[in-house]
Amino acid sequence: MADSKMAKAKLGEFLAAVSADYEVYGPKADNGVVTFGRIASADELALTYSNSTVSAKELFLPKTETVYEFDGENFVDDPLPEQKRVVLGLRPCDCRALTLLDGTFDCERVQDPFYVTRRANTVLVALACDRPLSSCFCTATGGDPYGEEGVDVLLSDEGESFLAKAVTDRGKDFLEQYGKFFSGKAAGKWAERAKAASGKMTCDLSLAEVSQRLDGLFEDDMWERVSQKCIGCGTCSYLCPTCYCFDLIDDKTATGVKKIRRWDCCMFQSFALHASGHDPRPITAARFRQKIMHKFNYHPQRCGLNSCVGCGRCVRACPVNLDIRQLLGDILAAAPSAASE
Amino acid sequence: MPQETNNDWTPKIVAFLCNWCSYAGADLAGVSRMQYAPNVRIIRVPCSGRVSPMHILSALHRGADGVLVSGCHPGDCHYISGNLVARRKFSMLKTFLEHVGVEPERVQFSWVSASEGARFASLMEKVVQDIIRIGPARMPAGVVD
Amino acid sequence: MSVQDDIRQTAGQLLADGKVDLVIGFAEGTLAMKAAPCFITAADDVEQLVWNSFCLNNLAVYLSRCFTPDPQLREPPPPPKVAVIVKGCDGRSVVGLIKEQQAPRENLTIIAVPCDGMLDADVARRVLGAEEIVAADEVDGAVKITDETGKETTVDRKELLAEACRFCTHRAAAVYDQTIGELPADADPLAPDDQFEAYCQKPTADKWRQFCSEISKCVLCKACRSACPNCYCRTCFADQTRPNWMGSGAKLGDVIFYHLGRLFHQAGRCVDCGACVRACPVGVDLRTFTYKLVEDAEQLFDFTPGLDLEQAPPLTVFAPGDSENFITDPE
Repeated sequence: MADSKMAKAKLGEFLAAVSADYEVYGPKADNGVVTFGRIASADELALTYSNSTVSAKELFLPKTETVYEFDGENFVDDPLPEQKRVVLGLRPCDCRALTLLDGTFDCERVQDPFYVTRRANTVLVALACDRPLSSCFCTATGGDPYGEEGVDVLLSDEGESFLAKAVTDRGKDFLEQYGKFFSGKAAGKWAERAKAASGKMTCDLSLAEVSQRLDGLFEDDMWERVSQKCIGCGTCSYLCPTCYCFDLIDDKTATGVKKIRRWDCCMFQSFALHASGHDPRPITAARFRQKIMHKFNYHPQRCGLNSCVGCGRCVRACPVNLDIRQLLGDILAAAPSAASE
Repeated sequence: MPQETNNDWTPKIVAFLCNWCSYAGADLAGVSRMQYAPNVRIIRVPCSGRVSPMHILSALHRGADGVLVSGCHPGDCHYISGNLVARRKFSMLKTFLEHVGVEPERVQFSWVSASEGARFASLMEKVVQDIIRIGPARMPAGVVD
Repeated sequence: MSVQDDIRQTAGQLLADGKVDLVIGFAEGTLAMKAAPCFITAADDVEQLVWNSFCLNNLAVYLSRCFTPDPQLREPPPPPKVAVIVKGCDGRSVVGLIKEQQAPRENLTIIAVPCDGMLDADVARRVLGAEEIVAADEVDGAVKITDETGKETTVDRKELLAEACRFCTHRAAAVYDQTIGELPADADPLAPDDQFEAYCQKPTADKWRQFCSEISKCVLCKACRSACPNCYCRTCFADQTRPNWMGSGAKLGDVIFYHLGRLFHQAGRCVDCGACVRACPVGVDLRTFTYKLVEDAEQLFDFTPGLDLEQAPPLTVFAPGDSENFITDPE
């Protein structure tokens, strides 16, 4: 599809035009912490970061959302989030993460109306990653700093301007709709730029085989050892673009009750606790095993792919430096025969 | 909870009163037909020492505009020293709440004995007037709409 | 002998003599300016232990976990004998945990090590305006830092101190069984706490606004709770369903309630180690609020937590002359 180019000077005008038709979301920086939020003007947009602190998952699976309400007499469904949205400047890893979330919330078996509506109404304008961090490992998981999975429009920062490339039909329509901000033909050096970016990746793991290696490890005594320093804080899951576990909880209202869906995390003590008081995962080791097995064994068995895009957020934010790359590396390095026994 | 004061607003105040002194004081004010503002919901507790800071925070969280805790005068506690331990907790809670920006009038502590019906009535008047002066709670209500 | 060698030797000796089953210390981290908590159970593994300027974590957080057996075991094993390497703040937390009966004194070997304040990668990022610190090398109080662009900058270590370390006045543990190196004496903080003082001067309405704006960043992962050695409750009030204290968290009021509840539970207990602040993934400034509790415990009750095993926690006792100036007198 056709490449085009937009001068950075036009960003403000472009945003104003897009804001007339869409709700615009993008990365905002506050004291070194980058999160996604509504963008009103170009000054608010923080596009020079390597990766946002919090993933863009929140725009599709909010931290808390009302599923339905019982007002004392009737059940009232919460209105679907129909507004049209553009998310600007998220990274290809976050876009790829959304395709993995589709496997859970928009698949043959389940179509979550809120998630599906948000996905259908949102154009993803991703910004390719030219400065991957040393803790990034997207290439190990099959992703790429210039990856196009889940992306509608891919931008690349050329200094004075953004190269733009429509990846999907929705992206093409979007670029055409705002064609006046983009100069039609631009010979962008996509291939070279992509190669240069992936050349900067420092992690040489390949996680394709992790799933098989984990097959025989459920009862292994390594889990206690590797999770010993874990304090069960759940920061990893809350920042992870592919963690999607949620809890359904009731909030009282004046006359009835609201059913709220909120983020949950398998590292929490209360996560698997039964009403009877029994807890099938009573210790950190069991909870940590669940997290790793879910991402790298159960998920690939169900959907064919690891539930990890290598964004590195868990590596950077873990307060006790429990580095998932090191753990996976150790699992891969262990003799295959020992692992599959 | 509305942020702006509107004309219909009357303060909702939760009062934790100890069974042995302050609750009896409220009772005395009642049987003596003393007039005081009707904005108070009284919760009877065994001792002011029973009142956890969590109860006070929870009242604010659930939409109270003000909280009053009252117990026996120091030295008169039915359980010898419950109110003295409570006094330490409350003095820290009070300065802490002020530190996060809760008005000092919003949460108040007092001592009322069983014979002080008049003191209870004037205490209620003072607390209600204080809360009316500072307006509805800034704390956005949680749990219940 | 360097502190690190001494730590290794001491840990190895304790393990070899069977005096302890476990040594909790620090190992090399996987990222620049990070050390990772580590657990050594065999004398042969002591080479993993390191000591440098990045040993930030408060290791006391693991103690209550060590002494809480799997609740589903019919016959829990006897409590382990644990040696823990402590800086000033860790040591004070350990004292608090002993007093609150979360760690049996007789099972603990407290190894006090000297601390000049630890360096924080996030502070370094902010100071240098860098995305990431790729390497850091400390020589005689100057730290050579390489950022993600490959640029090298040399910075005085004082600039890179973690927030809590800048204001630390108790650099060494007060209660210990063994010492390594020479423990530093109590000292004045390196810098006045301007940010806290400025906050305290604000009018109430502005304080509330700032408190709410900090709290509204919170994603409710509750990492502050998990990282805090004092937060050892089996079931936190925030997770309780009967009563349902907190609500779902869908409203800002719920989040405010969680933080007020958790913060005030630290009254008279907080040692200002900064673990909660560093654990927060979204940078909520919790210290402005926890420090008030530290200050008040000192001013109201002349109490500094974690210095003395005999002194009762301030909120469990009373004095006849305790302040009454907050009591409403209607007359």
